[in-house]
Amino acid sequence: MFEILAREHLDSVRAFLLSSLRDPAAVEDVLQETFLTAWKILDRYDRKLPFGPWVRGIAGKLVLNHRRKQGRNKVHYCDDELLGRIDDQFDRFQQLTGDTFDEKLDALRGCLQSLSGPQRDSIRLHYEHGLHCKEIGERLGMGFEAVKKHLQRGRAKLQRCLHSKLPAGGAA
Amino acid sequence: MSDPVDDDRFCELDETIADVQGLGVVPDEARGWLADQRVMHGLLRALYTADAAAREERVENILAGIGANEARRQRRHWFAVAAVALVLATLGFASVLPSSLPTAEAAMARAADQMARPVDRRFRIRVTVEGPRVEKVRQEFELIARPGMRFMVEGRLAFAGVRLVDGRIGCDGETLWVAPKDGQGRVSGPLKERAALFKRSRLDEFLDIGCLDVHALIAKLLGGFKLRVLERTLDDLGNPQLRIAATRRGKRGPLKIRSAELLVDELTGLVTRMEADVGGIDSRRRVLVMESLGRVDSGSVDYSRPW
Repeated sequence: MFEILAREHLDSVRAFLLSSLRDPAAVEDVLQETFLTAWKILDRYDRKLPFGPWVRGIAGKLVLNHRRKQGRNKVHYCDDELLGRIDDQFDRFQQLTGDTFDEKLDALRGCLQSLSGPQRDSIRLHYEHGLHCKEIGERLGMGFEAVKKHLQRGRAKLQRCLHSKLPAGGAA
Repeated sequence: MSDPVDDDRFCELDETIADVQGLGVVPDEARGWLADQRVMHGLLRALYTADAAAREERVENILAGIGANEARRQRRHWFAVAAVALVLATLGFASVLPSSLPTAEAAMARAADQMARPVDRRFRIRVTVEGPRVEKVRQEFELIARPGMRFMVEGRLAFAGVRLVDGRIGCDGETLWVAPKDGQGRVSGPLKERAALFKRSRLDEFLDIGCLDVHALIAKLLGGFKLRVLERTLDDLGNPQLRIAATRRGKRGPLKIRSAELLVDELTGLVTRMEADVGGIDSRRRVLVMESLGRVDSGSVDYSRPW
């Protein structure tokens, strides 16, 4: 049964970790540690409640530990309250249409079409090709600050778009 | 998702851009903005690094990690289990030992849970009768179904077991209706009188097999059948599928199905295919094949009587 739960929640926990940890290798380590910890303390899990928030709670604690050990340059700012806000949004993301996390990401794929050209290009070059703002600026012929704004405003626009795709009850 | 504000006031707090160094303090009023940015940052990173093979490797790593931790405990556990089994066998209670792998029960329990969600799903259903030399198609149709006996059937239907015509059968949870395309034999009535209604249209076979209520059918397989995982395979996209055999526990059960083989998608937990041996007609074997065709957009199906 645990294998089934792990398969079902692996991608959403990974996305949760990707929102806080810079280093992809650290994401993989903490992801594995999260599920191993969940397995060890599975008897504490209340089966009447959804598994996703419980396992993300474990992931959040491990992120805080990791930040304490590694220093703040390797882990984005986080505390209990901020992690709680991020966790709430992942809960709402689960309400999007789709049986799997990847199917839910289809909503995000659709929303990318709503961005302006420079926003979409900046996001694609940053997330798909791993370029930094300076490199993106050189490619697109704009300054560092302009790229940064395109990324931030693009993400805000994507977030509004996803929000509009939630079923009525899920909008908070 | 919270309702975000296009706010540039806090842009200097955004650490997700690798060129910006780590933060010290985050003011309270910036927390909502920061959480929104971080969630989208995580989702975009996940979107652009999705990889089925890497995903499978992650699962294997987790299971390997569990296996290493479990090994010592398992040795002690199995010693105890072996001792209990020996005692039970000695006492003649060998039959009470479980004969099926627990993962089959777990996978079917999850499938039943998933199927019970209020979602419209499309299936292709085919019922054939196997004679001594020839296989004859009796029913072939697409079914859209939602839990709560809301369904719509459209395709070639064998009215009276012989007259293959295009038609539709539907139910909105309360009213059941049958509408052959040629207009002959159009009927409707309360769902609770379905047996009489189907008998009138000589469509008893639908109820007999139980395939119109797919959700209940999967749940009944869990209760009344012995389940066993045959193997784990990969579909065309590399997603793991469990092949599960179900065999009716007694001679009589809640369904006419005697045995079935199912494919369960481990990612979604859903049954993607089922081939079932259904009780025969005139000693001929009937075979039901059900294939999942995926979800239907919410709100796009009207199950109510069309006239």
